[in-house]
Amino acid sequence: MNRRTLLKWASALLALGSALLVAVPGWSFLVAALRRRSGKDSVVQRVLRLEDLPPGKPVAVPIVGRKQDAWTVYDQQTIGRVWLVRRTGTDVPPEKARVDAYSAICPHLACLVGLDEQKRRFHCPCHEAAFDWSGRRIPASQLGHANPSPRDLDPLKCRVVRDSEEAAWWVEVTYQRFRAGTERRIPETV
Amino acid sequence: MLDKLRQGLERRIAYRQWWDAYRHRMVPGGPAWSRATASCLLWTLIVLVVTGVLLMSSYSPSMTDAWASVHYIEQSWAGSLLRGIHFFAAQFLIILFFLHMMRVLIIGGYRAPRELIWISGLLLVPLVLAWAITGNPLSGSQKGMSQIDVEGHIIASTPLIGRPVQRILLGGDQVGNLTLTHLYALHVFILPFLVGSLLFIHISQIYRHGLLGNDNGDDTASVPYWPYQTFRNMAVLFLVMIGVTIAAWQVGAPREVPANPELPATPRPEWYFLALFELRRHFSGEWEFIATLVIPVLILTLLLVMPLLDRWMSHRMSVFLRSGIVVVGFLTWAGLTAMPVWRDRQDAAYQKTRHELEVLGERAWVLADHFGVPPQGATELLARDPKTQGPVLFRLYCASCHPHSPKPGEGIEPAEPSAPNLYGIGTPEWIAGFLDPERIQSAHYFGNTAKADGEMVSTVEGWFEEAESDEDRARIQKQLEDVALLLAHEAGKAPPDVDPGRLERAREAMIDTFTCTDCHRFGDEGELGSAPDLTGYASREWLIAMIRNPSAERFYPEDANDRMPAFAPHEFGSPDNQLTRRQLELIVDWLRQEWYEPPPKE
Repeated sequence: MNRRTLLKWASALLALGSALLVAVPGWSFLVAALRRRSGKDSVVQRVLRLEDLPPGKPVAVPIVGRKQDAWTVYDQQTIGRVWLVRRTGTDVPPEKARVDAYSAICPHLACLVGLDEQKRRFHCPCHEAAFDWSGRRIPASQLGHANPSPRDLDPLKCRVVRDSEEAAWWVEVTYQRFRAGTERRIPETV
Repeated sequence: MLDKLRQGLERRIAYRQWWDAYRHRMVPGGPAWSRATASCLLWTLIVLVVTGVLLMSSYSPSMTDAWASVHYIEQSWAGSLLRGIHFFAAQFLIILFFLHMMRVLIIGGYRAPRELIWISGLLLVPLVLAWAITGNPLSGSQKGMSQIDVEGHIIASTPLIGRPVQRILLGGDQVGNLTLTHLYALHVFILPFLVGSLLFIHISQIYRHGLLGNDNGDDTASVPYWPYQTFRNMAVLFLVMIGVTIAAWQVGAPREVPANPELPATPRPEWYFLALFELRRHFSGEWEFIATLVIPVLILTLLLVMPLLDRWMSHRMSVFLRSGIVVVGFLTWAGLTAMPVWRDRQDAAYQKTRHELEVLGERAWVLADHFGVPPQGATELLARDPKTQGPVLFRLYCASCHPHSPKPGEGIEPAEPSAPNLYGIGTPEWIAGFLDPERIQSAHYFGNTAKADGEMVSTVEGWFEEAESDEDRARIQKQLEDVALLLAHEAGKAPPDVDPGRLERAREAMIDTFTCTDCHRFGDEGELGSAPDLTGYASREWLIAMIRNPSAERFYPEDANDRMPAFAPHEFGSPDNQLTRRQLELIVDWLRQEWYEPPPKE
């Protein structure tokens, strides 16, 4: 190798070295979101008094909690929405009452599903996914078009509890998020 | 295959001509290390642009978010390193820029036909400096924001156009959100665009006219640029980048306290403007613009007309003038820069303020690490921190009577203390001192108050007067220690593993032996109305209520209160209160030594 070739290679290596000094942290910085795990697996929250929940008809409630949005921390912010359906009537004593909860996030592309009272369905305004009031997908035959949702609405753990002073009965929801667009339920952080 | 691809590409975009233009250049007089300044400047600039764009990806220019997003960037090693590289590369660029200018001046690189290279390069000076100073305030720091505030007023002092330019730059009369968005637009787009345009002229002119040989015109020993000069360029660049990276890794970009109008401002310009800062001192009032505008413009103009001057001068004369500019220019600059640095070193008050701001900056950083930044912005971090606000509020409202001093000569000591020392209030030690016949009379507790010869003092003395032997005394002493522990337990300041039996014995002693409940209420025993309630004594709630209104029935009703004013006797929110709820909470949390401390570093 003559001097000229050596210098060519040396120049290239030095340039590469300089570039790497920026490129390595640069790349790590750009893809930091892939490593970042924020939030908890689930949030347990009392969302509504049982007496405020009418039997049979779905009611949407917000989940409120601490939220860290990159550099800002919000103490009290809506972090999710949940549909509650009270399955038992007012004649059933509270300790035996049954309430179902469904995440309002559509499993298709994560829009918020709304209520279609006439057809007794949950209806997603984005791409017309539809679910019955038990969270099951409406088949294409009834819908008149393919149901875009890959799975039923995501059911959430829900129970009826008494508050610390034992004065009132509350609906308590364990709020979770699942990945949108997959058939299987893959948990994500709240 | 690869060759075909190359040929196809060559046919379409003719890339080879660019590469050939680069490598076929000749270096008259052979390669030189000193020539590396040009290349190194260009690549440093590119490093700044690349790191800058990366930082932009996680930066938010607003008064609430700027500091918080910088803190966020600094939390990852990569972000911290990139910000450090961006900072140190910028400092280095400015040094290198002036070295490059001096070099070109010395070798006469401005002569025909290279005038445009010289002129475009000189016009880059104000642009690059503006580029640098528009970056500093983006961190949302107290230092950066007070710098741009002062710089805005310097601009405003320019006759005729100054005021409107200042207002447009700041987005109004005062520094705020618009200042940051304006500076951001300037820093990341407008100035880079202008610098890039001038650079294009600068570099295309260099290619057009070729490299300049030595001043003696000897270009017999021409050598190809590639790889002989390239190697030197890249070697210098690599060394520079290693140095910048080490500085970024070891020192890092400055982490200043968030901007806050309550804090003292100690604005000093960056080191490259200290000379003008010093020059300004010698012009007063409306003439300051001579230092900040006229003189810099004159110097720049002198350099701009060098190509013209040079034509009329003999070679010797020109060498003399150029060396003169370099030597005198550098010495003047260094001298002017050294003076304010030296003065600040001597200035104890300035150093003290600087140090306080550094401490606050570190504290804000620790708080943001732990709590995150609230939506109100980084200013709120220190505003809701008892460790920071407690002493400030205490000095303002309490310290004309109360000391807060662990031992003489430390902490807060009023000139004429006339109330108990509140350092450690609620702790077992503080309460034990209160129940000591010697110490309760001392200035530390009731010594300077109307209570000095009151019932509490005589009662405490009485406990020991009845003691007949040293054994008795020791027993009373032991019981009082338990009482102190019980009251500290009420304050929430007793050790968590305290024996409940011991507390119960202390409770009985308080009622039966020491007859505290003859005057004080304590739980279900005793009545309110003559002495402070000992239920929940010195707890957060108790202290807040006490400061709100010490003359309330729960504390020192009517004449029982010596001189302590009521700081918030009305409902919270009432304009007639001296202290707000938040201020009270900050004072009390500080008195109770309840604030966040980070775990000790290993």
